[in-house]
Amino acid sequence: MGKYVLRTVDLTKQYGKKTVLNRVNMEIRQGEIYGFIGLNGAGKSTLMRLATGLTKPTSGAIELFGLNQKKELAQARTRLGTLIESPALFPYMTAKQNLEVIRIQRGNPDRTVIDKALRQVGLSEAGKKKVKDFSLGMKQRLGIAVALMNDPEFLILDEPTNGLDPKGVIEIRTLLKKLNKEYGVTVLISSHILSEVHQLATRVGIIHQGTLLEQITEKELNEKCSARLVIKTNDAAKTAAVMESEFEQVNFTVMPDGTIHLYSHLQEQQKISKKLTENGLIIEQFTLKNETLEEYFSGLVGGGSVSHA
Amino acid sequence: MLNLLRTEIYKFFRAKTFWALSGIITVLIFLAMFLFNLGEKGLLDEMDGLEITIEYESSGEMLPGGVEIFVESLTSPHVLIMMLIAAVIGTFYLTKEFSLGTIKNQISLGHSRISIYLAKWIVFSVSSVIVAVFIIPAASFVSASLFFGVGEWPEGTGIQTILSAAIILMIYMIAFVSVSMLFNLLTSSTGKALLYIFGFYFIASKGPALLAGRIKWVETLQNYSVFHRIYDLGKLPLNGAQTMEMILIPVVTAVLFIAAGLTVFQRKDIK
Repeated sequence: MGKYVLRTVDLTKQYGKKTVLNRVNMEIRQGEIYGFIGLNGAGKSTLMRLATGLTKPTSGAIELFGLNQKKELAQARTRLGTLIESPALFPYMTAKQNLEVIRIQRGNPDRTVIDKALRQVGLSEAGKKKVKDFSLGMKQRLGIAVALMNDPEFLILDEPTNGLDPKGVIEIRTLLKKLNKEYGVTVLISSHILSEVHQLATRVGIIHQGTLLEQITEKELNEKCSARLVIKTNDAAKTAAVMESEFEQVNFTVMPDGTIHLYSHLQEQQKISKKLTENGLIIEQFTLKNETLEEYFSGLVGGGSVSHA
Repeated sequence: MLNLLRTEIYKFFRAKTFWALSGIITVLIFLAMFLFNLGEKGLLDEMDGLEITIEYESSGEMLPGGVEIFVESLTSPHVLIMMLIAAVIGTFYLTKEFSLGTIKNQISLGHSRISIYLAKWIVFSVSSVIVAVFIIPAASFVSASLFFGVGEWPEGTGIQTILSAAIILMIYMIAFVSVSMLFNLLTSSTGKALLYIFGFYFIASKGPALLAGRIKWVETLQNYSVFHRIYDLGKLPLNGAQTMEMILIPVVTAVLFIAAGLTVFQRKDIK
């Protein structure tokens, strides 16, 4: 298990009487791609702004690369690459000049980092073009290039695919996966496009009205979002024993509340029901669930889930 | 800090604000001299029955030469023009960083807010000083020389006096920059920033004069205000104590406004 790159402890942010982030305990480990999901105003950008020092917490603590003191945090932030809310660019400068600003600011004598960053986001041909003449998608790409300058160890990207066409979305996803796999860059990415997060993230955090509802791994999420038969009987242990004896290569999980989530033999519902009854079990729930990430998310944040019986 | 300073210089000279302001000021000075020239030749009197008389107070003669205008631009500055320089550069260089969001790139990468503030203050001060102490006098000298000749060095004004005036003018310009910077940090809107700066300028420069006769401390405040004391430049050469007072007033003003600006910037939520 990797070290924590970002950890928040009871992180709270209030504006006046309004609490926009409520005692959030988030953990991101080295090498993860952490997808951050939430509705507009849920608190995603606020958390990212707190992590990057753009705003200060009302209470709670932030730890970056295991460091949490004020001076240490400032030092830790030099290892970040960030894109918060919208690309922060000078419109009267060219793409290269915008990156030159970051290069000088970072004190990096190597000028080749500019061409490298432009190449990574597919803007090699637009380096001498002024940013005011850029499309929204190009600005977004350049914003990502700014974040990638000087090989950051931890990328914090707030809705980086906003304004990108489908090809651009795929390119950025591929780039982030490559940075993560080949260079071990840890990524915190927020998005409204849940399927996008699902395809990219190795762990997902779901935030709603300032409260972090859940942090789950890609595997757990896939399990939750895959088709399954939810069975509840008067005896969970006996039900599990019956399933194992009556069905070959059966795949199920016994949940803490005693329900059984069955992921195999979904086409044999009548047979399963018959076998359970024959073994003297009383069936209390027998439901086929097939949630998408959207449905799972809606269920969590109070929008209701969709299930198929 | 050095990297931040280099970044600020790189950004500043690629923005149009400084060049546009310098160009506009130069053109306006040239136009003013051109109009004076027309007035001298009596050409303006013929236009629509306008009667324009231009008198030159210090020499008592009609229209001075380039050298006299140069000396006057250093010893008789106008606060409104100096505040205008600070407000325009401050607003389109600093406040614009908040509205564009580019300030985020500095803070989120671990630079301390104190270093960011000081780097910006240094570049803002130097550029404003260049406009007030070099460009305006130089443009005045060249324009006046073109129309009225180079002229003669004013009697009783030594090089030392001019150098003292230039140095004290620099210090006052830096004080105005520090005042402007506080208001540039208060808002992300360029329009609001200009409104705050000129609102403060009018209250600070005109307010005490209205109340001075009635409230004693307001009169004292006015006497020690940069908006008031800058006009003492015309009284140069001053004795040691008077010179020290003239220098201390803008220095203390700058320190107080830098402290206030830093406090605001340290607490500011960056959107």
